[in-house]
Amino acid sequence: MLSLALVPIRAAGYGYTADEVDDLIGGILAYKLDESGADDVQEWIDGYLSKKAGVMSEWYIIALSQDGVRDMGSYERALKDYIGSNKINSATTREKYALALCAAGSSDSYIADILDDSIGATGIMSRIYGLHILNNGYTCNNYTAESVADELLSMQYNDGGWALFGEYGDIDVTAMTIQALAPYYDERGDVHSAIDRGLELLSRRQMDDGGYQSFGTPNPESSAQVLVALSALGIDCCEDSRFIKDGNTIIDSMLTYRLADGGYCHVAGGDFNETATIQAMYSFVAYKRMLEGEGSLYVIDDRQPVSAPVQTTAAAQTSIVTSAQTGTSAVTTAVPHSSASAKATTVSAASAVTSATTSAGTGTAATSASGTESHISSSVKLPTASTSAATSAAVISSAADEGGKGGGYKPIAIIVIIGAGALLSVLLLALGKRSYKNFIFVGAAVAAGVVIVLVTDIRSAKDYYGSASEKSNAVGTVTMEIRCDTVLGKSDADYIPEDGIILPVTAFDIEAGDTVYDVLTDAAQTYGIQIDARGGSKSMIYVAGINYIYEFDFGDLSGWVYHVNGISPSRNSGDYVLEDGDVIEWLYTCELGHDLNEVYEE
Amino acid sequence: MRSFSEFDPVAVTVWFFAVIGVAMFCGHPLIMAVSLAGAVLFFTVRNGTRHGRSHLFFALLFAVLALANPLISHNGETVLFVLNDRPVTLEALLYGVNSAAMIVGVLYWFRSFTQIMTSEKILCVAGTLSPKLALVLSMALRAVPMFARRARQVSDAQKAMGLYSEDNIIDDVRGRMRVFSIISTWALENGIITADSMTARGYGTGRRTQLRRFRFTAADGVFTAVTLGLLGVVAAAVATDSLAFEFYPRIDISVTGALGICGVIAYGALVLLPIFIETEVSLRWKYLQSKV
Repeated sequence: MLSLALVPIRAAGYGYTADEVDDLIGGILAYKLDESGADDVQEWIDGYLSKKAGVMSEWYIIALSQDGVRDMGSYERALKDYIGSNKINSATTREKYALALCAAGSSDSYIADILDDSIGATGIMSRIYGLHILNNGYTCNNYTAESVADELLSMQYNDGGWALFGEYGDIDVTAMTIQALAPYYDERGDVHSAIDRGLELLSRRQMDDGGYQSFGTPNPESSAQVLVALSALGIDCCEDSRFIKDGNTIIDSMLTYRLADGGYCHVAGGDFNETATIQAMYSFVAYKRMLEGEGSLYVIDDRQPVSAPVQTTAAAQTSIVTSAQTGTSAVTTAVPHSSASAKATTVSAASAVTSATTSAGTGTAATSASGTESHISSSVKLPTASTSAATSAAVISSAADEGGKGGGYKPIAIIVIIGAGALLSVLLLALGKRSYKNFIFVGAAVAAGVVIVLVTDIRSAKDYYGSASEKSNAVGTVTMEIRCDTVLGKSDADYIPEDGIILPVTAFDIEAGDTVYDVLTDAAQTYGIQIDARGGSKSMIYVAGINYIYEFDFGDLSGWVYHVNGISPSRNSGDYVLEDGDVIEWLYTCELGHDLNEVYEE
Repeated sequence: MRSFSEFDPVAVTVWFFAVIGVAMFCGHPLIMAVSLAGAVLFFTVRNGTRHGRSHLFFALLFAVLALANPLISHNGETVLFVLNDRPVTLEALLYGVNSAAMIVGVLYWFRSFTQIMTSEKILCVAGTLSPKLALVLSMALRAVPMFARRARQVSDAQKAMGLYSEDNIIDDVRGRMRVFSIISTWALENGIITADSMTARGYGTGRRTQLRRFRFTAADGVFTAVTLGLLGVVAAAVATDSLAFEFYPRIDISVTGALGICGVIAYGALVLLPIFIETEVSLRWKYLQSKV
């Protein structure tokens, strides 16, 4: 086992002085400098962090900037280069880059330009980061700090917390929401009471050692987020009795994860963890700023004065298509996270959610996240320039007519087909081919075309993914998870999640007659999971691949199977009608089911 | 100097098998592009602008094959749109284009193959090995052109009988279906009759001797050696996985190695070999004519 070095740095009482916190920050910096071979912090920024710009440096840059380091010129250039040469699909990642640019003292228009397209694009996290940027004085066309704060308030659950999905508040997300709302704590009464309720939840959920657990796993990252949140409000976590349990403070609990070399681990007794280390670092910076009477971690001291937003150029850059889409997507994509249709239940799934939450927190989105919002943003790219003109026409009309539900292009398509038929008829008349059978043929072709348009349903990826299908007559709830444990270690493909969990245990509402395949489609739509199902009718469904993992990828006997309540049904997934409380698992097998402890249906 | 079609049948067969074999068993997009472009170029160099409507048919076939794949396979990261809850992806579309290039390219190679390799040449190449195989091959390869000729005859006969007097699409389609039904009946019968006829003449009963009109010259030897050498480079690239390419879940050309690029260049040279010969011969022919 690793020896944990508990450095006795406590002075008197519970508190820590600014110098002691500075030592903690210095310990992390010393470790990182040693790791990258740099001699001092400036060399580290110019070398290692600039090289890793856009990949992992952003939170270090924000922490360093707020800790008083000034010269970030080479990093700023590196990040601009990175942004210029990469297409960044994730809204939260764009916002993270904007915050980092701001922290690096950049006056680039990127910071304000991305706001309209990013806020609200992937649920609550994009609003939190967006609000941080707005708090720095930047502005955009569609949102104001007030409107985003209002949205965040409306997302609060009854227990006083916030979460990515489900019915109960999550420590990390609650703390992060409070960080974003903190500047309005004294100004707005509704924010004040909402934050107070959130603090109550955080106080209630604190463990006896002063730390926090997220979905059953004690970890330093949750504590770090709470520390940043409290510091943003000006609360000293070592003085406030609400956050001292059995004489232990949040910082005490975080130090139990400190390794001998200055780094931090994710679980007690574990190895060095980058995420835990960076979150510990910026939370200490936030605490130090609070002790020294400076502002929130995310209101950047070193930011450039904001010039008047150039609204006309921003509008000119976005085409009609995208502006039509953003209007509706703000409404539709909020649904899966704010509706109570999904909740994480068991412990095994919960740990997966933790990793997803924390990675969203550090912005290293889509590395190990499974089934959560960062996954959506990574796996669904929007229609690109290669999309045909017909598709973009469909996008415009569907966004305009039915608010993202799709199908709005149909009247136009039918009119076009009938028009083409009429034109052909006129042409036949003009050419003298006036046999009545010619016109019967044209009529039949037009009818076939119309039928095809009516039975198909074309939607843009942006409209489809992330929007939950509505279940107005729900008769029950089932849970489903998708795992590929059996392939772990057999391939280094980047789309295979490290923990084998593609979708953690997630609850879905069902209507009468809903089958296993319907729920799988729901999951694919809500969480942006790639599904390749073949077969035309419902009882002929064959699921060939999930999340790019296909049948036969791992031998002749490999493929996807499903279990309901632990039993392997001998029916098609499109035929298996669900009942309230059923537990569905989609599992990848390499041995025709023999590696899954299968119990067969009677 | 002989034109390519006058080379020894063995040399021509080896070259065709090398080109078609690589096109069929190596799915790399660059190889497919070279194969398709080379096949169409070779066909048009030999036939000029004739067969215009058949090119249209193959273009249509290409489009159908390319567009069918994204409707069947939903693998790939870049979702273009979602059709009835199933994602239609850019990667699947490109994969479809690649397969279509392979199929249409190979079809074009076989069109040239049947033009150059007459029944006589096929019997010459395969006859000594297995008379039965040679007979089946030559019958199969002449079947399609013969069908087309026969269909035209039947259609003309029908017209002469006044069955196409109505000028409209529906009767047109029905008439064509009738012609198709007639020639498929005839083809089945014809196959049996041909086989019976060959047996009655004693084909395949003893060792077959043949008059060889062809001579395997030094030029044939050089041509075959160059063909096999270039094929060897491509085979080495395939064997070392240098000609790998990934479509799913996202296009990845980085797995193609340096040897793979050599393989593509070698395949390009292999494909252009007879086109060089044909061009050289026709230039020389024009030059000789101009001197007369």
